[in-house]
Amino acid sequence: MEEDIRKDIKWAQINRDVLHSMQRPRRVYWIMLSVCIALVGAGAYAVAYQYNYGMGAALLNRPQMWGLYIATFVFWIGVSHSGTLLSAILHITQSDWRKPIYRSAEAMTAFSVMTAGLFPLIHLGRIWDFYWTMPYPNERSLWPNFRSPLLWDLVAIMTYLTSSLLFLYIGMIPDLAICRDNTTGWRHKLYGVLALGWQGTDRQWRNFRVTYLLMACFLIPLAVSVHSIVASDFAMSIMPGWHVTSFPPYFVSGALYSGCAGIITLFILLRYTFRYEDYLTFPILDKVCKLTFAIAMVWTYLNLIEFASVWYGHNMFDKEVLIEKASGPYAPFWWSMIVLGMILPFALLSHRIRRNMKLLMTVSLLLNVGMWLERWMIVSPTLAKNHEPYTWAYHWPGWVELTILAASFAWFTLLFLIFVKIFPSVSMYEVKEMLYHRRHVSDRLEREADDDSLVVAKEEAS
Amino acid sequence: MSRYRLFALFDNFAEAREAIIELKVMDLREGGVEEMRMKSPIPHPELEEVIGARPVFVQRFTFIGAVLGAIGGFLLTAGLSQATFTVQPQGGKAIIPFPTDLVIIYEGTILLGVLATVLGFFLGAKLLRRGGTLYSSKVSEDQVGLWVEVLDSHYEKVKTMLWSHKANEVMEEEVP
Repeated sequence: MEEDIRKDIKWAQINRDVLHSMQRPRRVYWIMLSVCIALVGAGAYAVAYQYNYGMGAALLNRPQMWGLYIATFVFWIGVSHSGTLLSAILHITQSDWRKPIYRSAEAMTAFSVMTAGLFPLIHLGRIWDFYWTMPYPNERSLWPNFRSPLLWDLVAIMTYLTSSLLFLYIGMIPDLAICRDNTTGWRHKLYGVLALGWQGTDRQWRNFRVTYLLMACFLIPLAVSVHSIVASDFAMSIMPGWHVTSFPPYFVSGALYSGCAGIITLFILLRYTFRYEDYLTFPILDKVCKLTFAIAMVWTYLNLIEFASVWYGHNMFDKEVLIEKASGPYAPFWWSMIVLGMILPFALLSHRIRRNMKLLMTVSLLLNVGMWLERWMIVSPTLAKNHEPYTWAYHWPGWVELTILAASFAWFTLLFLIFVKIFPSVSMYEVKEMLYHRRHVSDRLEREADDDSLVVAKEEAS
Repeated sequence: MSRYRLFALFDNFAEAREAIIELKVMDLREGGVEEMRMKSPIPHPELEEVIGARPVFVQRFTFIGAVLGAIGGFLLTAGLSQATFTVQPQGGKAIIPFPTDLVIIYEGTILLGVLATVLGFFLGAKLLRRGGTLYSSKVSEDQVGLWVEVLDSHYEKVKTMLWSHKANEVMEEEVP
């Protein structure tokens, strides 16, 4: 069986490779960075234009008051679940193949939450009043309503952002010490401050291991709660197509699915851009692909269950929305979601596709297109065909919404590109630990095999 | 009596482990070893087989933080609901809407639990303190360091012992 990672890599080599990646990436890195900055600039212009002319510039009006902004918000919250899955869950289950890739998954979590958090603000219109959603004393008689899922959203997302950033940072401290010990100038000063005097003493490692485990234990229920609460934004209303009991698990599985697809994309990107062929290996990519497929099937099942409950529930409003999705003006997008989200994951079962980086990159991007379409197909068709026929109206995004959507992808990528240039994107100490344990296990197995052959030889001799 | 600190670098954990065992034996027989620490590029929980189990108190911080977070979440929601209750003209609402408050209590539990865990880690691992001058960047690469504080009477003996265990380098300083 192919090894997840070569056992003969020297520890000093790991330091060199990862530190080198922070100094000299390929040219494609700079090209991507420039494109992202340009797109973020375009997005900033679109936001400024929207504030100048009002929310009508985004073509949002009743009944279509949410549009792409809230669909994209849900999408980015979903992508953020990658870090929790790959880092926290696989850490608790002691799946050590996660070690070379989990750092970028955790960074992806933090940056996608930061991207998601922008959308309610952009959608708010009067951005200067955003603090009304926060729980604060009500001298001004604004009484924050704790019964509203929108307030739960704020609290859950702030908790998730804080916890994810701390989880990322705490897990990085030993690596920051490595950076401190091997750099000069501003980098040395920065890592020196961030490493907090880490020297790798047995006391520090003991506390570190317990802390990391405890944080992982907190992060899993937190991630589930965050997306359940986002699902509650929809499910707690009485809108047709949203008032569904299975929405929270459906959202959580969708989140894990898009997060995993996002990890495949970043895996390939990092492997190529930073020449990480020795660490981000094909066997590890195989495992991520299989995990993505398994989660895709859970999501598919929950989707089909939802269709079945609507169909056999015989609620005319719910059924009308479902028929509208499949045969109305949104049908091409809805069917694209079905093909990309439910059928395309079967491509991940092909060994040939899993070994073809360009093809796999395309598949992973298309999977996330499917997942983004899913969010849009949750938001717009329901609002188009609600309980009041006289308000029925379709929503098609204009240039402002589309530019801001594109800018959100650029913003996320920009944050990630800056992160991987300043911080180690592969966990050096965990890769060393992985190698140490694998060497130990194989040495022990060899010793046991030698012992066994000795016993057999003795028995034969006697 | 003056004391010395010695810091030896070894190629791997097994060599450092042998040196630690000998130091422990020496300390048990004749004393003289004041304190001992290992500095390594990866965690070695198996070290506790040699030096004995050492307690970690981070969980206590976590527990206290989580409980305070739950109480804080409840007080925030219930307290502000009371204020809301008096200003809202319509009746028939629960004074403390517990089912909806549970969400904030849940998030409060996790938020303060995480923050307290991090605080416990900083204090427990003795971060943010001056780590001392005896350190080598090789520890963050691939070597294992053994840091010992010994009495003057045992200084030479321990130093010789460290070299005998194939230490690559032994640094030293007198405790001021």
